[in-house]
Order: sequence, then structure tokens, then C-alpha cells
Amino acid sequence: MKRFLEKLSKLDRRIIFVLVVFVVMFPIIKPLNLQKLSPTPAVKGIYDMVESIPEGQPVIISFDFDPGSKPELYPMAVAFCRHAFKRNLRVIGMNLWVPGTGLADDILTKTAKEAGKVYGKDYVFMGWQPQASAVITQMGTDIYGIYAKDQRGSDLRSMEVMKGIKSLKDMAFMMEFGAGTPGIEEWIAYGSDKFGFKIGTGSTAVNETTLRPYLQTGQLVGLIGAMKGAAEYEALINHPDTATAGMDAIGMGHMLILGLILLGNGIVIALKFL
Amino acid sequence: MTFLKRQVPMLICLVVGIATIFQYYVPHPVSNSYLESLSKAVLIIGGFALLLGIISLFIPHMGRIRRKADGWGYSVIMFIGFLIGLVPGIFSMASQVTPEGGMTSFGWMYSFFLSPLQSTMFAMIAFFIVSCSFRAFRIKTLEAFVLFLSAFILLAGRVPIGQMVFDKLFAFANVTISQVVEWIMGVPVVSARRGIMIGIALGAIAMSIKIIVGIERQYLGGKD
Repeated sequence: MKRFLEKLSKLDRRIIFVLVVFVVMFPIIKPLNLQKLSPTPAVKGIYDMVESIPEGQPVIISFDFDPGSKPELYPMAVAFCRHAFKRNLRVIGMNLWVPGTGLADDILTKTAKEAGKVYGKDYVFMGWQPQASAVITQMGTDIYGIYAKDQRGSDLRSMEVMKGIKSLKDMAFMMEFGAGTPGIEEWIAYGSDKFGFKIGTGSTAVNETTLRPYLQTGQLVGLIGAMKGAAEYEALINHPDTATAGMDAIGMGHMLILGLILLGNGIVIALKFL
Repeated sequence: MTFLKRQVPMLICLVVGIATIFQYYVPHPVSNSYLESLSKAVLIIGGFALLLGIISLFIPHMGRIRRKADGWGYSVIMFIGFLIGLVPGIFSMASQVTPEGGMTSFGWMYSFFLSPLQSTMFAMIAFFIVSCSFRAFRIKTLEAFVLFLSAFILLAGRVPIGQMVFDKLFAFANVTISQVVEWIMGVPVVSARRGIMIGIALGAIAMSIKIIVGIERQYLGGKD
């Protein structure tokens, strides 16, 4: 028994890697259809905000993440855009992370196409600009001072989607999807706190704890946290997609981690008594 | 020369620093105009900084290739990677979609090169986390036990399978694991985070004041 436990404690990490692949792949290939997550107040805050905006009003979305955070942030950004287009809101996209430009463009194009929206009339993608704090500050007084043209090089001011918009103060709501810095903390410090517009965010799991204080103080109207939050949002808009499918895989992965921690410690304790 | 190198930059720093602090609290058109001009100046400087960064990246890598230093091949790969990003980017005017909705060469490079590579790098972490959870996470002290307990509750409480198992096991306690998770995230986590944030903010304020009044002069380069 002792020899077996000693051998088990030195388990080849490649076996653990195979276990991870199996545990994550299995629910993706054969969905487990476990019980649905009930939406938390933080996620509901974003949903209720979008629901409360009258049709035709503008919302601005900043996609501040790169492909490294795609599994967590892409599904929630897609779900949010679907919701905004379903509510017939004008959607203005931008990003502060240059490697995320393609993802942002892809999300807007994909969801707009689904909803039958027209570029320039119902939505626009302004693209990336460097120096986040300066960009936000400038947008607080005059958007066109920093974004004279959209990502495709067309004049932004003449677009129908930008009608009646001069600065961030004219937005009915601002939504940010961020994986770090620059991100929501810059948007709050240089944007919403100074110019007084409503803001919400979608973050990676690792950043969620950092952003909780802003939620408690009311500086954020809501917070979509990681894939779990995205799955909750998909449930709220009644459009299950990749986040809902991914929750089973994440759940199994979490259970594997817990099981291995318990097993590792159990072996150490058992070896002390043998 | 010392006057131009030392006193003038310090005077600019003092005046601009104080003016920017006051600007935040003065809702006047002149104040807004000042902020706009300052933001534009920062953007222009940022553009030059980007160019400077690229040059700083190139110089040591070119030196490594010229000297055939250890691992010089990686420097060649760096230049190839740079060109793979730059050339399609210039030809596509940094746009990933054509006006007709098709994919440009830059879009192709982004979708089939950069995006999967970055995602793969990030996904690799999962394997090492799971491996470490078995090998390195040993509950030897009370602090390690508290860390394990909170990790256990958070990991289990944030996924449907965990909620299902624990809510059934602890049904007698009349409290769900989601409620416990919300309490952990809303009370101890927020308290700790707020403490850290206040500490960082105080440090940043102190450092900013030192730079504005000229006590901290490292940004000028050299000694003193």
C-alpha cells in the first residue's frame, strides 16, 4: 500500500495532462446538460440597463482584450451585442488593445449580420487608438477629436449612427469588455466618474475580484464575470451559445482540480501513518 | 545647459502638474480646451514612443544576428514575425475586412495565425495549473487550509456541477453554495481589495506630488 501511494504521489504529469484533455473534451463532445445557472444580480444589472434604454439610443462598447482572453470574453461580448441589436440600439465599437482589433471587428460584424443591421446606420467600428487615458479624456469632450474616421477610413461625423453624438456624455450606456490594463479602471477614473455616464463591464475571472469594489459603490451598473457570467447573460437573452456549452467543460475541469488537491493531500497524510 | 536640462523640464512638470490637478475640478471651457490640447499632445508623444520602442527592439536583435550570438535564430524569427504582421497590415490598410465583407490578408493572418497562437499559449496554463494542484498545493498550515477552503468553495460554487452536488449535500443547512460564494466575493474579497486599492492610490498620490514639486527627479535621467 505504501509503495502504491508513493508511486501515486510521483504521478507523471503527462498522465495528468491526458486527464485534463479527457475531462474538458468529453462534455464538449457529449454535452452533460447540467442544471442552468441562475443569473446573479451583477449580471442582471447589465441586462436590466440595456432593457431600460429606449430604442434608437446609442451605446458604446470598448473591446479591451486580445485572443488570449477570447474564451472568457468573446462569448459575453457576442451575447451583449446580440442584446443591443435586438433592442434596436445604435452600437458604436472601439478598442484600446491593439491585438483585439480583429476580434472586436469580428464580434460586431457577426452579430450585426445576424440581426440584419447596416454598417454606418445601425453600427460602426471606430478601431484602436493608443494612449488609453488620453483617448478616454478626449472622448469625454469630443469624440471626433480622436476618432475623425472609422476603422475603414470613412468620415465618422457624417454617419447616421453618430447622429446627435458629440462626446461620451451623449451615450445612453457604455459597456467595456476587458482583460486588464488599459481597461475598466481607466474608463472609470478618466471617463464615467469625470464625465458622468453609466458604465458596465465584462471581465475575466482573475480580474473579477479587482472590480467588485466598483460594483459595490455603484460606479459600475453591473459586472459580467468570466464564462459563468457570459452563460448567465446568454440565459437572460434566451440565446444559449458557446458560454453555455463551455460551462460543463469548466465545471468538470474545476472538479478535477479539487479532486487532485484532495488526492495529493490525502496521499501525504496517509503516508505519515503508514 | 544645466538650466535647459534640469530647471526648465522641472518647471514644465510643476506648472503642467498643478494645472492638470486644478483642471479636474474646474468645469470651464478654458479648462476643457486645455485638457483637449493636453490629450492630443499625449497621443502625439505616444506615437513617437511607439516608433522609439520599435527601434529599441530592432537594435539589439540586429546586433545578435550580426554577432551570431547564442540563439540568434530567434532574432531572425522576430524579424520574420514582424514582417508577417506589418506587410499584410500595410497592404490591407490595417483592416481585416474588405468593404464587400470579405477577409483581407491582414484579417487572414490575424484569424489563422495570431488568434490561435495566443489562445493556445493561454490554454497551456490550464495544464500546468491542474498539474500543480496535485503536486504543489499542500495543506500544511492554518493559512494554507483557509486558502484551500475558500478555493474549494469558489471552484465548486461557480459551476453547475458543483452547485448541484453541494446544494444536495448541504440541503439541511438551508443555504446554497452560490450564497456562500456571493458572501466571500462581496465581503472579505471586497474588503481586501479596497485596502490594496487605497494603499496603491496613496502611494501614487505621494509619488506624483514628489515628481511635481521636484523631489523625485529620476525621470530627468542621470544622478540627483
